[in-house]
Amino acid sequence: MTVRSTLFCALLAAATLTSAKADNYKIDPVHSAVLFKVGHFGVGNIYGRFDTFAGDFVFDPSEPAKDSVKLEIITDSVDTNAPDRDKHLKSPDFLNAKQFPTATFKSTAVKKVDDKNYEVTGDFTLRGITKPVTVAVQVIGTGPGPKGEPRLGTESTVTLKRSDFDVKAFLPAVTDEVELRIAVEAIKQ
Amino acid sequence: MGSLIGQGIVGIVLPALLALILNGLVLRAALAEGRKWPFIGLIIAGCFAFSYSVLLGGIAFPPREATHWLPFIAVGAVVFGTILQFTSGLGRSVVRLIAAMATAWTVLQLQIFGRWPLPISVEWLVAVTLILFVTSRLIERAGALRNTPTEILLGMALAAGFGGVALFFGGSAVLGQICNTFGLLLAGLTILTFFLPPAQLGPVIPLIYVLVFGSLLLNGSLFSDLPWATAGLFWLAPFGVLIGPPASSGGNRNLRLLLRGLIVLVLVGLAFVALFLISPPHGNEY
Repeated sequence: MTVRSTLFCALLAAATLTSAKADNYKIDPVHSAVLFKVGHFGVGNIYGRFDTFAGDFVFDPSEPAKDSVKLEIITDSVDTNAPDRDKHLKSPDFLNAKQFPTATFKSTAVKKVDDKNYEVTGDFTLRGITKPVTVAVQVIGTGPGPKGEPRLGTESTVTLKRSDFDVKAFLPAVTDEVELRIAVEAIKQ
Repeated sequence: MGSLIGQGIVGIVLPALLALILNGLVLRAALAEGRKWPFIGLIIAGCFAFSYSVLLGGIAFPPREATHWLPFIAVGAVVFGTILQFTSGLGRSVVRLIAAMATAWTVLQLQIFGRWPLPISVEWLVAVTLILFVTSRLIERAGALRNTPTEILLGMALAAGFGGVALFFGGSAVLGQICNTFGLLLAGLTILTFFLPPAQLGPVIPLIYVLVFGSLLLNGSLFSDLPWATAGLFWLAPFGVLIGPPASSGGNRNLRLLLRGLIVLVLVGLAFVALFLISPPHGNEY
């Protein structure tokens, strides 16, 4: 074996090892949810969800610096179990869904806290305004799904200030802080 | 609930009262009538912008969305209206056309250009510009020929006030409140002109009405769920004051005012019928 072929084999082996560790996952929308919670008149909390979203991520537990996350939420799919309120939330008073049909998150850095917990920093865009946010991500588990396909489950939380994104209607009766909770089951590609 | 009521008082009632007092002072001032309307227009636009600022948590600058332009459209309408007041002939039509096109552009540019095919976008721009142009001219000219300023103002106040209620039910509570404020501002002016009747209304107030109310209805139909049929009927509503004998024919002015108000209300009623038939509310309070 020549030096050149030895080097080629070593590079190939390294590449194979890397690709085996950094896995690509696609969010399974059927087993995932994008939920939000907002305070209402200082009395209680209103919960809602976005029914349509998509995303994928690259996950390598040994090298979090290489991890990345992308998520796109369709704002017109907001659902709070009250059709008139949903209509209002889609209007220019809140999400302005016709002018801004999507809200997106793109990670810029991933930091491992411990084996189960990560901090994902990235750019969140809502109503055309982009702000950096840090999302706390917990890995729930990994394993085969119903068809034997490898799956990874996570649950993430982040609290946003809606005024940062020009969503200021009914402040402070409806709180500025909105908690987003994103529960994901993703399928390895 | 308290904070929303407080916000409503500061954002709706306070500017309406302030405008009533200031406009009363201007109407009583020893100024030539033609010079009073730009001041009154400025008071209406200022109070409208104040209301917008309170109800939407501030004025966005630079404007990024169609609704962000509303306070700027109101102030711009005063500027263009004042120029109209002191120009005549072709120059007047050109100024009116520029005002109409600038307003149409601000509302439509983010939504249609780049998303819809260019020819359709241009058609929309031309159509909205022409509607704004013609309406402003009709209210100003035909109104001046057939109606007293109070009668024209009554038609505009009723359309704007109830238009706010329709916008509320059409999905945008805040735009509805802002439109309600606009209606109240015009209602206050209607009351003032009833007791302090001016000879002419002039172009400033009709132009503010057409550009601001037009923008509100367009925002409601393009970006919220206000049906186009409802918006159209509200647009036609103030023309109800043109029906009936002209003001110059004499007769009881109170009765004529009442009759014209009722005709406008019939059109407003039809607009609500269209709203509830096309987009019925679900009856769930939230």
